Amino acid sequence: MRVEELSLTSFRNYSREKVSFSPGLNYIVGKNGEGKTNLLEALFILATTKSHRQALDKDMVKIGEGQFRVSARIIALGVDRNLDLGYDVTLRKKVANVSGFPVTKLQDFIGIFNVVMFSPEDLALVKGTPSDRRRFLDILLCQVDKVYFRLLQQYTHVSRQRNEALKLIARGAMKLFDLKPWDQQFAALAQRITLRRFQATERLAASFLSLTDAINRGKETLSISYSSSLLAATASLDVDGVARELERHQREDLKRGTSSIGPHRDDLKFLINGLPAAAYASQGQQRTAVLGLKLAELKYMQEVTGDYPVLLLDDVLSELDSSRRQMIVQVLMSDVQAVITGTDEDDLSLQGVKPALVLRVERGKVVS
Amino acid sequence: MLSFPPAIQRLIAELARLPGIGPKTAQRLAFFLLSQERVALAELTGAILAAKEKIRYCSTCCNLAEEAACPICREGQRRRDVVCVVQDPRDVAAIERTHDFRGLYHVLHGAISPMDGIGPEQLRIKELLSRLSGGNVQELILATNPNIEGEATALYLARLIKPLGVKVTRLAHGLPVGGDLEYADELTLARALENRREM
Repeated sequence: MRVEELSLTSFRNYSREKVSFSPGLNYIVGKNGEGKTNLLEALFILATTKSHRQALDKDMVKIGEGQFRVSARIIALGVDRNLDLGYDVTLRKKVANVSGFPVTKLQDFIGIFNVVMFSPEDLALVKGTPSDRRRFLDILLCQVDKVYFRLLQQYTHVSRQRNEALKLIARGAMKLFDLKPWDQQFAALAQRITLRRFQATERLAASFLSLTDAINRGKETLSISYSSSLLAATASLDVDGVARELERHQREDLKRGTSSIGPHRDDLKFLINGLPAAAYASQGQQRTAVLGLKLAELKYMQEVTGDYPVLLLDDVLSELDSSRRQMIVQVLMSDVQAVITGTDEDDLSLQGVKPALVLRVERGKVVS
Repeated sequence: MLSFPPAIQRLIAELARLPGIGPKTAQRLAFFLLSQERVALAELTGAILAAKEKIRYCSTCCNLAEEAACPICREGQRRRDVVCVVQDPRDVAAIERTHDFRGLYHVLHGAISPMDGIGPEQLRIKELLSRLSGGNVQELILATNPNIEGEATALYLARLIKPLGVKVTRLAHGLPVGGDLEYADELTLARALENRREM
């Protein structure tokens, strides 16, 4: 998969800009605050409809403008397509087009173009919150699995209804009998989401292990595993088992007014020699772990979709030493298109890899 | 809108309260109404008020009716032992269009939704139970919407009514007839696969 051309209108600090990319390694260089990351953000939005920085849609509109628009010509599995996404501040609505045809449901836009984003914030993933790590899994799975996306949407909806029901019951405004329909739907969705995350993690874990081992060379073993609030208690993950667990936690749930178990409480754990890494991982270990995870994500997507996603590296090269850069180099040798940002051209002293294209960004303009 | 006289502003505001009508459409409608003859407007307001006056709930199925019993409940050739439970009068119309269902209906007028403050008490469930206590109904078909609230309502009713010895069935989830498999919505397809049947 690759992006040929990207156009921005009133997006972040760009008024109107068109950028052509090379199929290989693209290096975007410029000082801080000039608009390098915004280019990556635009590509990320075309893949997921949302900002990787969790920015609000209206905050991505250029100051003083009423709407933004990002478009790209992409080639996926040999098919040429135009993706176009616009947001209007007054209508508070995103409108998407694929090759000139309007997409009625925004969810159908997700996953046509795939990316793996690695930004400086990701370096905190190991020691960050479980919610950050769940978000990683969700972004990956939503890009490649439409059913997962829908299940997640429904789960969020059912969770909200169940929370409201719990609060009403605690207040005596609803009968306990009436909780059951929500429990049943919650259990069915929770089971399917958990199962999919488990399966995805298992696959990621295999490539994660070999990727990180290439750096650690047997010194220590880094691994990942999915830790479920449901499976810790249920031997086999079936819907009835989840329903029984819900029943067991009912009193606690009523007291809290939220569901104390379910995929929204799970975690993707990093382990060093089998022990939880969150507590004591060094800077270097964290970097290796996150880099390994991102490259495992890249491989996972390629296996599932048959095409490599576009790798977006936002200012992380300077954060990595030569052995970790070597991990990236190996990926760049293969068929992967990459868009990398950095403040200094010398940063790109990647052993043996020359950028196919260098783009210089100054104050919301691509100058070369 | 602020530059309009207060009477027009009020009309626009009232129209904008209607479902599916935004401020721009409300404004267009208001000016259209103003351009009409008095008689035509009296006809419209009369129709609105008359509908509100005359329409009540059928004493049996809770569907909208002008008399104590709705036309479907009054129809003699219908099976009285099968009742199809729907959320809305429009769902009755939809199923009637199939000409395949010859039983009776029960209209709940909504679905359970804690977030919207709608519990079983806000729906026509008491009426359904008293109907079932007559003992004539052999099968209850749950035809609530295939979304989260509709499903919750169906699950609730099934759990409530099964112990009464009435057969409770649910409309199947499946693929749209006449469509291509490749264009089917993923979740629908997954459901259809899950609920496949032997041939």
